Amino acid sequence: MTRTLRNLIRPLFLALACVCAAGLAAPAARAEIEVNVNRGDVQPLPIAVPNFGGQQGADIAQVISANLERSGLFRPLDQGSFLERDINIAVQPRFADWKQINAQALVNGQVTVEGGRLRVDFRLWDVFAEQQLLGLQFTSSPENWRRVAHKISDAVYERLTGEKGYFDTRVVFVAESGPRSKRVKRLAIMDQDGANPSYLTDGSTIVMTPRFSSNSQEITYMSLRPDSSAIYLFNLETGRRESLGNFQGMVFAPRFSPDGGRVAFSVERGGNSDIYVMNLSNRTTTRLTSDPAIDTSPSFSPDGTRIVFNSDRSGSAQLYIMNADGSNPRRISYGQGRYTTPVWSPTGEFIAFTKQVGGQFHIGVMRPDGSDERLLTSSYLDEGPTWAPNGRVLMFSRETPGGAPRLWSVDVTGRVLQPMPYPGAGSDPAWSPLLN
Amino acid sequence: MRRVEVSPAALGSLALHAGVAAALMISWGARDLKVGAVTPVTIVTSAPDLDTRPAIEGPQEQAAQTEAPVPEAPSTPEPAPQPEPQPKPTPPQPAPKPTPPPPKPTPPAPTPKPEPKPAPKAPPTPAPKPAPTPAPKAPAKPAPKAADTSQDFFASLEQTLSKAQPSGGRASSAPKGPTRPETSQTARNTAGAGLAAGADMQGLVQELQRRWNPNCEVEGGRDVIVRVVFNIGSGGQLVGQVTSEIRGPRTPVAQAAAERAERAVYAASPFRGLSRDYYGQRIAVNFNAREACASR
Repeated sequence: MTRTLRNLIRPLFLALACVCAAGLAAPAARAEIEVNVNRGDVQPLPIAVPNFGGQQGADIAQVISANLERSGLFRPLDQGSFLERDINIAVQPRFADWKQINAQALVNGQVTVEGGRLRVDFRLWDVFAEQQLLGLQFTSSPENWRRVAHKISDAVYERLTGEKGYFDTRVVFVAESGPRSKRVKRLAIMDQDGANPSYLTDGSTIVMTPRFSSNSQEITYMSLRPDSSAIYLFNLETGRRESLGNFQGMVFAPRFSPDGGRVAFSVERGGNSDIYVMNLSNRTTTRLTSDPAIDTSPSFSPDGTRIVFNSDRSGSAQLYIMNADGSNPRRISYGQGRYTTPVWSPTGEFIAFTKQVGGQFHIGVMRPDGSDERLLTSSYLDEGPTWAPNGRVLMFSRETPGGAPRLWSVDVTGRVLQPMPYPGAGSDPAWSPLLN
Repeated sequence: MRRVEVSPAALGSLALHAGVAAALMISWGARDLKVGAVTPVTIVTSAPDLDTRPAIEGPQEQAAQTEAPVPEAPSTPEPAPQPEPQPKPTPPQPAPKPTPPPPKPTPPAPTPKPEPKPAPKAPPTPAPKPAPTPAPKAPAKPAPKAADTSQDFFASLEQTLSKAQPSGGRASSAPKGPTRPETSQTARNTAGAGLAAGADMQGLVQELQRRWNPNCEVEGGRDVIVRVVFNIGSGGQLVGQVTSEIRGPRTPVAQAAAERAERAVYAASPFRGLSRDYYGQRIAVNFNAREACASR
């Protein structure tokens, strides 16, 4: 009897005991060890971009690699080191092979042409987490394969950095040719990587300071003739060019407002230049500054409420900010040297400028309140910065003694400084917003 | 000879316990791998195809090229086979009219030429990196008691449980936190129920430092602190999900930073050389980009 009872009770007791033990063990499983990691391998991200399958797959991969590498944030791995070849986009990559060469991310894709249409499928993989981060398909006409590559570059860049890309963009600039005494300056346009360059004007007049509108379809620029100057609007879609009107005096340095509805510019009369703004819908012009000093190079803040410009009203060229109606001008730069060509970044965080000090020219940035000034470049002649649409990269022109100006780019840290792939001479670049 | 009678219920209970124990020993490292869906996107020719003619070799230092741009027929808008995006018409060719060459004008914007005297750029001031603090050795943990199977298994188990219960000790073989000193690479900056890290966690921290690729170049990326939590199984491999939590606003840049921190954990695993005490342990790592990027 006792034994039977014991046999019955014992399992029940044990089950209860196990439940209690599990309850006791639970806090231990939840407790955690905590450590801090305060150092890292701060290097460009190693990324593998094998040739895409299909026609022009290698070309597309090459453009993507070049874009990512030029950003300074990625290090495309040498294709010769790849262990997995001919990877099929429909099948998972062999992650172990990509881990072995320390590829943190992998971009693979397939190009097909069907019915005269180009279709590009691609996937972005997190190699170590062994998961897909992105899978997109682009279709276009076959001649647009470079744009597809730029679109893919933007998608990869944004997914891995959290920041918008800037590869599917174009740059207008002044293409220069001929000897210095007989220099021909033409308005030109190219992809941001220097590809597909083409002229927009024939070089019969000197063109200066081209600037994109916010929709990337219009350019405003200054055209200089022997006895006058004019500001033009040039529609890239229609090719239509129109003058903004006749002004008494020399007009220069035009720039669109962020909404594209106004153009600010300078007018010089009798040695004094002031800033004006024209409403493009009714062509009315308003004078914003009336200081006897030289006020020029207006650039709107991204919200269109303020304008940064340079003025020598303090004795040397310095940067000032005023409200978009011309009220409340205040100086923001107080450093040594001359500050010119200010440009507000698309994100609103910085103002880029050209600075001349100590016999050198610099491209620099500062906060809109004048703080945190940083000089990013230094050379014989660096000038005319323009922002990439994500506000992380600047393009400018650099001239060496006796040489022709070339287009260069630098990121806001100043660490990624490089010449643009465009092989010719160029100056006065203006970066477009992201294309649609 | 005494015969021990074991009821079917007891056998079932025993089998259940054995199953649970076996499950705990097995590493569930393999994650479900899925090929994600493809999001179709169509792009059309929206760029102004004003390729009057290539200018790639145009400028350089050669003689001026004076030929006028050759107009081309405008390309027609591409019909978009996919319904989503909107096709944009390709622009017609602009035909800039050639004008007689004017005499040399001079630009109004003065660009003073500098003397070619190099001025050194102000270098960024490197911030000193925090030196790792040597961590004191954790006291040896008593080995968990093995179950006595020679005599009465149940009696032995009862005895073990009755011992454990009054003292408040844990039945788990996981490391005992309260006896472990603070030994993280740098001082733990969070209060709470976390256990202190042992000295041999330094190896884990160093491996994570080697594998972590913070993005210091992107605005906002250098201020992110990400807490990544994971479990280590026997053998040092990851068990279950690796999760992350962002300290601060969950911006796209912070989200990308969190993925980079998680990636470091995946890349550093399996964590070999760790004491067996950490097997089955939950580990939280604070990836501090503010510190890591301080010297950039």
